[in-house]
Amino acid sequence: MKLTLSLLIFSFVVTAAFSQEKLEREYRIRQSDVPSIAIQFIQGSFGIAKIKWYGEENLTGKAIEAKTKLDGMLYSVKFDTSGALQDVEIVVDYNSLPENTQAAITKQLAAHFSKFRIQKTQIQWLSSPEVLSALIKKESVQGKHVINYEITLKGTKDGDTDYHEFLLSENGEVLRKSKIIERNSHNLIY
Amino acid sequence: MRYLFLYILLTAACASSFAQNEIGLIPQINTDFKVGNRWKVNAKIEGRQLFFQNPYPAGLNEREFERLDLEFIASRRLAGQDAIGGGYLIRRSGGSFTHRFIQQYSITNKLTASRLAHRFRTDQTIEKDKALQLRLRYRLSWEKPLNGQAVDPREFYLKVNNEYLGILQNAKGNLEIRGLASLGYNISDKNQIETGIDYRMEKLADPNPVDKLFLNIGLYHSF
Repeated sequence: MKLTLSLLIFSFVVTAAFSQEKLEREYRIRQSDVPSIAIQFIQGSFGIAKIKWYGEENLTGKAIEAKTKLDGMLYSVKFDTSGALQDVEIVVDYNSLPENTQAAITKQLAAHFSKFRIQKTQIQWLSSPEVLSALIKKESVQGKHVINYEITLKGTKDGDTDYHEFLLSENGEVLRKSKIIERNSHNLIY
Repeated sequence: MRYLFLYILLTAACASSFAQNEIGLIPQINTDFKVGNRWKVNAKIEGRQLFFQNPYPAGLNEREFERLDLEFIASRRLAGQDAIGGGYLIRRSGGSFTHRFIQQYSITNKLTASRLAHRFRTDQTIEKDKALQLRLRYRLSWEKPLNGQAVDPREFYLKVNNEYLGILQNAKGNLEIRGLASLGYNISDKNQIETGIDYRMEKLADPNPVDKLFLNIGLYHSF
């Protein structure tokens, strides 16, 4: 029995040493590690709201993200590592989107899946820091901005049900789509 | 952390103050094999070492390697990570073997910064000189990363679960409640190590319930 256990532990350790790791990673970072230009944007746009800072690493590179709540809405603001603003995302209820946008997105998703259920909806704003700051502060906006929608859904296609993430325009055009690879849940089940 | 330590000490003190109790260690190695696109087999080897038991069998030491389990569950993925499965457990304990047949349905939900899993299980246990034991179980598990919004490689996480077991044997019903709080480390997406405190209240319908407190150590690997 001792030998069996030793072999099992040994094979576990050996396999662990050769395992490949997922390249996407998100982790908390201290505000002192964030470029001052990013901190200034957040403080100027959100005031004294509590900010959580995250570092992100994925296949396209590194980024910094600030997450906070304002008026009960969850905001994510993404910067590159130099502090240049990338986008602002807000978690919303899908039913709160304009009716024509809902119709366009629903039609597009129905073309991809035989059945789907939306899990999370985020509005994405793209524009200059001045315009995005005004949008956050609900001030009158001087300048154009692009609105996209990031949808996380559980969809069934050809009998397979998985989680997917779509980035769609206001007209329902698919700008990006990806299947979400979920981490194994056997440590939660067994 | 101070409160967690205090809670563990208090729980240990409570467990040892009851009339019937056990304190021990549960080591576990758990592996997951993918079979095709939809099927998985989970294999688990788990032991139970007692360091303290009250009362303990006459003529035996209160320190005892009580049992060794080998469990296999085959499951079919339904949607996302929801799955239905069935399996078999064989247990070596007290010089004899116990056989258990298991059926389960599990649901895993992703929350904003954590994961929640529900497990519904039924099992039938056959043991020498004992009546067939039937159990109906429900377990809720919650996993929370201690850094960021998802558990990434080389990050710690907290896992908490709570399980309720209805037991029927010899036409007599009973109840068991389990609670586990553990700290996990995600070595990579295929390997995790966890350790924590597992507290169980058994035979709750009896006049003298049994309290058990274990230190759990688990190694998880996905092939």
